[in-house]
Amino acid sequence: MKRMKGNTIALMVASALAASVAPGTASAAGEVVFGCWGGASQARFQERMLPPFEKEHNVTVRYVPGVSTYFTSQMQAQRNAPELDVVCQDDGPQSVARELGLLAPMDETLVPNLSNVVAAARGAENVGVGYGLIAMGIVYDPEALEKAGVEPPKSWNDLADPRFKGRIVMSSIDATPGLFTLIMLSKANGGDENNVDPGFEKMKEVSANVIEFTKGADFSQYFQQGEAWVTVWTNSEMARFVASSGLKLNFVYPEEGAPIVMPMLSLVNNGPNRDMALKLIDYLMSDEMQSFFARESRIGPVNQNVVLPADIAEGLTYGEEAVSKLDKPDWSVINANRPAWTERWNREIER
Amino acid sequence: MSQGCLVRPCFRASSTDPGETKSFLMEYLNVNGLEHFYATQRVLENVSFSINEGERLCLLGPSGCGKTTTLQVLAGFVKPDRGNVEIKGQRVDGMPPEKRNIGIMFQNYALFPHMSVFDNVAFGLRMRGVAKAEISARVMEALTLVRLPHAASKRPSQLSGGEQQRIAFARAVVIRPSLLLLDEPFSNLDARLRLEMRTELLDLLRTLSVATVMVTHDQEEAMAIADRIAVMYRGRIEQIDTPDQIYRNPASLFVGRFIGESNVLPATALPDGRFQVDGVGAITARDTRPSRNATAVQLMIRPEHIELVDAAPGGEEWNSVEGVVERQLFLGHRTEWIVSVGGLKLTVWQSNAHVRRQVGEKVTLRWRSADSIIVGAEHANA
Amino acid sequence: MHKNALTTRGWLLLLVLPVIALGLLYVLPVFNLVRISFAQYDPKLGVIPDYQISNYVALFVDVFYFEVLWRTIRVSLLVTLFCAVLGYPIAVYLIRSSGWRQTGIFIVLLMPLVTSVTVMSYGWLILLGRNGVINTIASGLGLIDVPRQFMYNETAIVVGLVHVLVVFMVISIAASLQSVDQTWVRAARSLGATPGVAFRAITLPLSLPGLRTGALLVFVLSMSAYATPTLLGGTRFKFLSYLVYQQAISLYNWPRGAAMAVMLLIATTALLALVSIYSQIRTIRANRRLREAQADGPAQVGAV
Repeated sequence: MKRMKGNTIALMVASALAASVAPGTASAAGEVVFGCWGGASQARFQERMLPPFEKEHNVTVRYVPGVSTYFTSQMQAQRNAPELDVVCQDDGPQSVARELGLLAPMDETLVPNLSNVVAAARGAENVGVGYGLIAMGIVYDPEALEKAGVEPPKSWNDLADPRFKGRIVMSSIDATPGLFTLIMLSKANGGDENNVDPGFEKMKEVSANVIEFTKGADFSQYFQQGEAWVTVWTNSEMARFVASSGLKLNFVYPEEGAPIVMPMLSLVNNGPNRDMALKLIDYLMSDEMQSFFARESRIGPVNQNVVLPADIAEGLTYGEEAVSKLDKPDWSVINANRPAWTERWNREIER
Repeated sequence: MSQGCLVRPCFRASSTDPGETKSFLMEYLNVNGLEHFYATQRVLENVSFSINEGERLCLLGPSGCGKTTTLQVLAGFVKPDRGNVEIKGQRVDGMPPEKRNIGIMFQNYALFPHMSVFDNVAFGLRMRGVAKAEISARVMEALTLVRLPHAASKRPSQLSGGEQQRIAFARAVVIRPSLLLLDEPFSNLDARLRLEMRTELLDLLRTLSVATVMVTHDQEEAMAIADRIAVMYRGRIEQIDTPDQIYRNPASLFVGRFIGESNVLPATALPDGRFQVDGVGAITARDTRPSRNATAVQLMIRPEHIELVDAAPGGEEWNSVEGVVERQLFLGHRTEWIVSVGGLKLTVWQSNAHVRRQVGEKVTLRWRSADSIIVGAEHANA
Repeated sequence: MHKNALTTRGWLLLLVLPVIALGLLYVLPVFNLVRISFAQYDPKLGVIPDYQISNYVALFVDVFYFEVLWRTIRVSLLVTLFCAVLGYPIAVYLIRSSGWRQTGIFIVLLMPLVTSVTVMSYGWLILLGRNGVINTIASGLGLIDVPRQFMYNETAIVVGLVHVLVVFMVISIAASLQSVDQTWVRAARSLGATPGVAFRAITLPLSLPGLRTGALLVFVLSMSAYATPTLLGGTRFKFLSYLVYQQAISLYNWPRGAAMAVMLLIATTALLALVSIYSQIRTIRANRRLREAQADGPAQVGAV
């Protein structure tokens, strides 16, 4: 019995080891490992964006699909022997990874195209770079508002106006729209990331107008069913929904500013193929690829050299005026306080 | 065996005995002209019979003969397409089972597994709203009757097969039913217990003197328990009579073959009243057929009625034929011979026979004329 | 003795595979969950193997946490009740039907399990939403003037969970109904029970094990349900599973999430244990009453 127990444990350990090693064997020469979004994005990257790069540098880009938080935990698990070279993440989870010391800094000497990037897209402490500009603002259904004789919203504080009672759908604080609404309501009422009390006060009023706080940030069914008139969403997601559904929605840059949401590219700390990783990032920040992102992924270019025709620019965060309205939230403060805010939100807002 | 018929008149099924009229009878249970179909298949065809108060009738037949359906009709679980059922002159065929006051002992006993023995037996009384004190007294009385008063608090699963059967019996009779139905009562018992329970059940039925209809496929059980037997075949009653009469005077080839063993020989009626069996010769026999128009008949002789003798005896009442011993089997209480007679094979039994024959030895067989019975040939394919 | 030892070893060898499977698939993950629930989380360092009971202390002083736990239990009990009330007649109908009809019922019952939760929640929105089918019909009939919101409340959670889970109740009740021999019912009828009484006295008690199994399955699945309550009840009516998800996935605080999950496990197990103990006590008491009644003699039985 004792021996069997020993064997069993040995077997468990062995399979646990096998499981931890299985996802990727050591990276081969002439390879760069790229962790990025799955689905349509993956197809776009692999079929149309990456092949020229692979050809030019005679390298294989190994694409590992996943979501932002997954990469954070992967990098943490592989801290001592990283397998990823470059990761795509939203700015929020990216800042967590940065604070955990999982990402390495990079500057213009390593990535020449960084010199063309707008200041708002540069990562804190030179860690990571935003590869597209997305604005979080207020989205509304113009036909529904007109039919009801209701004025469109202009500011964050408008969300608390009784004219939208039972007509707003918003994400929970777990997703970025809810989180940013809280921060922007704080800023609109004399607070900021370090003082969210005014935000919570106002949010309670907004809550009375909210039909439902959703777990994620997919509001399409609420507009399709005519349940909601107003939400807080990114211009990019709205544009994609409008394109696929044919419904008409408007995006508003609120008077108090629209927080920036950025998909970011980051260099993994101690990644196995550092040189090629830097070349890959540089390639994706080039004029050509930045135009491609704008055209195909509907995100605003961060490269100042990129000039877009008016029909492509429509609905994107592009140009002096739009960029000037962008507000860059302080992710360090957010990350540090998010657990406390979440508890407070659970108790005060979603009840 | 025929004691039931000695103390009270024997009633015949109207289908097999058109001579008697129904109105003449003073039956306790009256079953008239049952017809029933499952889909397009006829499972009951003009089934009629009656039984007297305290009488035990057995429906006997092979599986699929309609005996179980008849029981279901009596119980009220099957509504017949035609015909009616009367108990004590009252029509019951329109009544649901719970109104009929019929006690049933099911083949698998159907004891409620989630109730104690006491609650099983008390169930029918509770349904009748009997007072608690009386329920307890009557249940214990019934359990004492079946010699299991100490089992009251047990669960059915804690009892042996024989004990379960006795509880099932107690449950069926404690309600003082107008009619008791027994469905293959011994089929779930092993051979030894079967004999024991047969005697015990017969004693109980005699004690209670309740009108009983029992269904079985086992002729020995039927003969042991019943006052009268109704032999059923293909949805019809072939013959209904005392066990003794059924055995001695089978009304059809089927009955003759189904009850006991028989040698069946194809024969032709001769003008002189005798019967010609090919390869054997002219035989004298008892002709019990209702109609004697047909000349092609079947001649039936029970193996135990044939004697193996050295020389042919004289006398009118004896038939004798010559044959050759083909096989000899010593079976303890009897010896069996297969004797070849003119191409036919006859089975012969003799009890306590010390005689031994050689295979191939020539022998003479004899039997009384009264023991060879002529039945119609119409069921020859049975 | 030697021969015995040999067979014992053979027997143990047979057990090795299931034990490993159970160990790998169940014991190890649960052990890991419990271990992590005592660890600490630091935003800069991640999960730290510094084992303390602080995560549990934090939960025990948290009224909000208990409010959510109580909602989870309350709704799960309601779901179990409705599944039983709804599932029993369906199970009876299911075992009485055959062929295509039976297959059809199965397909309808299993549909929610094979449909993606997102699609299903959209379906409910079409049905229950303010511009949904029910509101349209009700206002068309003049029953209501202003469209009502039927979604995003506890009722919607109950409706949605019953829809998804009733199949477990139906299948386990049907299985035990199938084992109820119809001759028991016939025996009861012959003894004077009407169909209704026979059902209550025979079929119902004998199908209780199935009802119990079904209730257990539905309750456990409901307690741990995540997607359906979140999509139909919304985040205002949180289930405990939502808080676990929030801690573990949104806030990276695995230890806190693990502690919540362990509490959910304990609460579920404790409730099931309570029910089991209660029914054991009842059986023992019933048996004792019966024995005493027998010991007192037949005359007393009637008096009891």
